Amino acid sequence: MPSELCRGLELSIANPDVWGVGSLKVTAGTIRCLVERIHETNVPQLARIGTLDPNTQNIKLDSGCYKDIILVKQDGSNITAADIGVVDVLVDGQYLMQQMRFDQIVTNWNRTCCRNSAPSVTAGGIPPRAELQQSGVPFLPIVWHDNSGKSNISKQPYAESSLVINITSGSLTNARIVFWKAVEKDKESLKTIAATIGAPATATTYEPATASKTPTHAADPGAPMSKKVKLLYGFLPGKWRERATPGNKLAGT
Amino acid sequence: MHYFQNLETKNAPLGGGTVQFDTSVIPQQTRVRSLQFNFDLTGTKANADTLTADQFAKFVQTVKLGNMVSISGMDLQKLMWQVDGHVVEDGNIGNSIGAGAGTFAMKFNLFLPFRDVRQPASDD
Repeated sequence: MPSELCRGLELSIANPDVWGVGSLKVTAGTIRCLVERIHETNVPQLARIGTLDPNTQNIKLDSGCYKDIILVKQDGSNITAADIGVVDVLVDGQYLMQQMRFDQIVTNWNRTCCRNSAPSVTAGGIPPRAELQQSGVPFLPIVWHDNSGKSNISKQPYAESSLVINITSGSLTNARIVFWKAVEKDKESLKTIAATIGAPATATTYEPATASKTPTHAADPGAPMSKKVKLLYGFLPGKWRERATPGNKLAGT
Repeated sequence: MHYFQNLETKNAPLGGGTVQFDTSVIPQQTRVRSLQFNFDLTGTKANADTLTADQFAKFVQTVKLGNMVSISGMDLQKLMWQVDGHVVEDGNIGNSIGAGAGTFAMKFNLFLPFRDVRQPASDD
């Protein structure tokens, strides 16, 4: 995030007895804010973090590159197998998940995303803080990066039109979608952002990596760049290119 | 090379409300990799009252940053569980409030990412 675009930071704080536990309430305290920054002047990837309350089991999200999607309950309680049954996830009509059961999703998240399987906290009845538990999860992962060390945004699903999540055989009625998605930037908005932060809109030192044209297929070298490629690489400090270039890959792709 | 800058410390509003942080002091032409919030709260309760630590973030109704971020504290904490692959505890977040004393201490953190640590050299 360019520092020039980092404006309007605020927290809304609940009532001091928001938990509704007897007479328990906050009476004093501080909130400290820390920023981690780096000296770079290029236009970096921009992202949007937010939520959506669809109130249905057939959920449709708009276009974009989804880095992460998790499903939670609006009341914050755990999700169980009875809530979910099976899940289908389709990106522009192509399956990302097909008839995935609750327990299969949990197992695969623990296998490919969890970084510490040890139950690190047991005091006070707190469940393990790393692995998701088959008995109930605070969130159900839908889209995630794996922890192989080769994760890259170009491997994440990009919806040209929509991303659909269908839940069947489950009782969930108060789903909330929590997402982290990349912000799409076309040539003109890129120029605007670059002008705002004082960075050059283009440079001559960067060759863009090849990237997927669709959620599941690699780009054909020389083919016109898809919206996804422009989304992913328009921000980088390289020459703006209209066609994919074969053989150039970012570290980790 | 990254730089950490302690931006501001504000008192928590005790009747609920909005806390704003001044980000204009962040040097221009730098990138913000992340924003972190450390909550250090105290309070009173009846001896029988208890609260598990995974509920602490309910104290934050919304984290907002312009039109880029709008999310509750609880939802952000769950998202970060997935992004980090575990929960950053610091030895504090696991300290649930147990029965007994008439006072309590509550510490927890919220982390707002812009750089994705899972993506090597991609979008710093």
